Amino acid sequence: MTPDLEAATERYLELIGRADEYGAVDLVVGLIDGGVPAEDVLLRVIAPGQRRVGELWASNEWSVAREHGATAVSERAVAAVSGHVRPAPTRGRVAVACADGEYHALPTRIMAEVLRLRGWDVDFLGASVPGPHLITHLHQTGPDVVALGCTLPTRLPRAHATIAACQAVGIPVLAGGAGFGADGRYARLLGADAWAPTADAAADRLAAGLPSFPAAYNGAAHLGDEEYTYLTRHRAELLSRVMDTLRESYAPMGGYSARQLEHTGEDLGHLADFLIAATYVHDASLFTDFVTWTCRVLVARNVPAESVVLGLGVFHDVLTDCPRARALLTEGVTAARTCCAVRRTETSV
Amino acid sequence: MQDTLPFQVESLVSEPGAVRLVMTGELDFGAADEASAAVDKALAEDLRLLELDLAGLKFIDSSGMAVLMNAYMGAGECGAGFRIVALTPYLRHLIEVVALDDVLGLPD
Amino acid sequence: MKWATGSADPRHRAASPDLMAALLERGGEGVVLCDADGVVTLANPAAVRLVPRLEPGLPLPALLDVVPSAPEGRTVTYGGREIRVRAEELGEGRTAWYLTAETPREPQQTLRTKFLLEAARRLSASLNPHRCARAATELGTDFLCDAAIVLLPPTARRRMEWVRAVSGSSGPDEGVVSAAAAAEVPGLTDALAGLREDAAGRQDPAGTPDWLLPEGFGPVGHLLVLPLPGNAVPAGAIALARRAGRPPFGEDDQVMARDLATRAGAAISAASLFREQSTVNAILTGDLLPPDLPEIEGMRLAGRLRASQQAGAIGGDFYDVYLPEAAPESGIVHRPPLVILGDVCGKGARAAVLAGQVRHSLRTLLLLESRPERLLELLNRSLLASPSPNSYVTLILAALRSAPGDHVLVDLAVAGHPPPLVLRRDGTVEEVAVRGSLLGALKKISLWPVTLDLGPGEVCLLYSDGITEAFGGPSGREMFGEERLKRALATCAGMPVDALVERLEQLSTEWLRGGQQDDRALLAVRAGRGTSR
Repeated sequence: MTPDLEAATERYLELIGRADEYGAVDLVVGLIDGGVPAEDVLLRVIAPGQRRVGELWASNEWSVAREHGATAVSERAVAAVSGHVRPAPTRGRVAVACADGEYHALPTRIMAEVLRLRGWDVDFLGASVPGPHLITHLHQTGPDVVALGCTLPTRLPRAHATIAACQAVGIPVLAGGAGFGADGRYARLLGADAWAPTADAAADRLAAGLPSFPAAYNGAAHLGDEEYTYLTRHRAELLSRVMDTLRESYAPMGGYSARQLEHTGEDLGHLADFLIAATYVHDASLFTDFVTWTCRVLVARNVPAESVVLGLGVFHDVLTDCPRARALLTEGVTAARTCCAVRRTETSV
Repeated sequence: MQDTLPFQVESLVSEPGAVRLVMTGELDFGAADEASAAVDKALAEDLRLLELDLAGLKFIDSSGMAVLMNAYMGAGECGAGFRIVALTPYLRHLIEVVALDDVLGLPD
Repeated sequence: MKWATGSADPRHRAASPDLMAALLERGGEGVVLCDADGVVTLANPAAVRLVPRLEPGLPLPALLDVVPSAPEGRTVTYGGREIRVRAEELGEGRTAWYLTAETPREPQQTLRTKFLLEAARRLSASLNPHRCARAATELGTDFLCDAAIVLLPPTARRRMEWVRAVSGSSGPDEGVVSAAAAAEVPGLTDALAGLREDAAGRQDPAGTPDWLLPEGFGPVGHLLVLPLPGNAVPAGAIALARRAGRPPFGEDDQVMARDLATRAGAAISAASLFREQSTVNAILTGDLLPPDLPEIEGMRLAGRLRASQQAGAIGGDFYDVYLPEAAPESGIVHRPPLVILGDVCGKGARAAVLAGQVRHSLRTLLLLESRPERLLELLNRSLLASPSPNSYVTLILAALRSAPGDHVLVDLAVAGHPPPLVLRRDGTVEEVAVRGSLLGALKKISLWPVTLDLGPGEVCLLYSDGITEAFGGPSGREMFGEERLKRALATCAGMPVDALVERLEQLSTEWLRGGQQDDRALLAVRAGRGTSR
């Protein structure tokens, strides 16, 4: 009998939703004992369950605390799978790490476990691995490849530095995770030796073999230009100018509490970070996708998408000396306006 | 990285036999050596009273706190008095956390 | 030379002056004619390409003039290239010069340049001996041979690690062989002793042992075995094999092989030195890393430690857990589990060593003493006696007693450390009113310990000032601060304790925004089993 994995995923979501660690661990271990391959438990129960958690948070059905609780339980569930099934390594050695500043470790952790299940000797270095720590580890252990996970594109500049550093010590890099773009375009742009969209694809790609020494790559020399440097260096100053201008032009902000102001500051900070990342990789869709997503998240929290249009407009006006960033912001405003329009249509229906 | 305020220490003879060290900026790991040297230099003279003016210290970490402790103990060993004549509310809070407020005799 | 003569067809007539000129014009060889005075009368385009200064009406460039007219000519260097020059006397004092660019040596030169560039790039990359050895073998198969094997010096167990690349197969493979078996490789023993009978390292291919090459490699035709020069002792040896039927290693190949051995030896020996030191380092720092947190009945623990970036993985912040003896012998005190979190003055290895000493001192003291205040007093005395300067330590000591109804009673003593925070079930956050003097400064310390009652799901958070004193935020120069930490903690009600700790660490890191960070430690105790609500 093959257990119904979709039903199992529903059950799993329910358990992690109430942070029932023991229930979740019992469920995944029970599935494995019932004959479900451990890789399927990781990729067809835990991973989809965890994706749902993200969606539930975005649609404001789950609180941040509940989302974090569920994720912590999933970490334990993944650990339980890896403790339960321990194949002896038959292949080479892989160092798996999250990009510096990347705290969404679970997808990368799942990739590490899938590689381990496929016979690789895996060192999982965890969330947000600073470059120097990773390179020291590479010198000490000499793996065949580094698998680098990046979930948020805002980490791309630092991921880029990490990729280059790994290659400089002669170890090829496989890039994975949504941060590298749905089609892996940023992985290629940053000169990764390979890219895989999912954990099992990563395992297949490694099985196919990577060059034992990374090829010299100069294609990313144009990244991190003047505008990117300017924005990175003046981020704080820029944000406070945007906040001040907003406060003048948007009356309701006068009544904001300190916490509300801090939240607004954080939201603007995220917009700035995605703007900076889009400037880095020269790709408008990185920014507009985030704008669209932000509008959706805010609307779910009863914050009108018009506030995003307003905020982006202020960024645009403040950034007088950055033509590329201004062009990105114009595209962002268009994307946010589309969201407003969609929202109005939905409301009128 | 934002600009940090450079640490500076100025040594004043406030009255005969008394030295006042005026410390400003950030007294952290990187500045501790310079601060210690100023304290040692003051204590090397025949000193009756060591005073610290810390009203201009924007930040202090554990290494900086060690400088203050060493100054206090060094003064005791030399038979000199020790007194903090001015400090920020933040620094006062930190000194209270380490429960040295009574010992160091903070100004009111 | 033969000319066509007597043909009726004008096209087949003897070469006309026009045709002669065309022949000269398009010929690949440079031709220069000059008169008895040494003035150039004709220079075809091929000649001008080689020596641009050639011009009819001007004297012959000195370059050509000094070339003696040996029958086979000679090679001169001009404009960065080698030109073969031959002179012919044509009578009446006239001379013809024939110029050809020397090309035959160029491919070898290019190959060598390419080899040197690649060797520099690949061998300088890693500080891992195996990665260096892999790079060396691949350079061997890319430039010199069909199979290249690096043998690393024997280990204490008389075994030798080898790395082997074979052209046409994917990536190098690795293995281990006994030193006795390795000695079968002709010339290896000498090479490992730094000796070479034949300066070129040529060995009798018939003596190649089977294990050296993969199955199906076929008979070896030519074999070089060279020492890898190291730090005064060889860093190993490299064997380069060509299949039977391939040309032997020529003069240039041997030069390149020696180059490869020299560079690989330097890389591997530097990497070995690094490995040795980092092994020692790992052993020394092993005890300084935070411990794995144990399962304790009736509660859950979670901790996070981040060392400041400059200092590597260790620093002045620390935490530890001391479980009671399972079956205490007489004389050893009975006590509940104890957790500590502290911060020693300073950063990096020096601070970590003192932190390690504090943790060890406590472990010993706990055999004889269980009262938190007394423990801190004893620790203070030991720090005062410490010869190293700045032995100042702040510390929280928390004895954890499980109580009925999933409660946990926490006996807290704080020495100069920021007081712990408590997250209550309703999401309120309190700062525990507990304080005491820092350790290592005063003979007499003052302590005001308290006991805290945690209900099920409630959390006591110990943290170091690296969390609250993180500078960053939107302006980049604002301190994270206690208030912000309290607010962040309040949003964590109902979370499993490891999620809580991770979230707080994440918030503090995001606050830093990549700025300079201090050591940061978090340790949380949550009453009750892991499941919330």
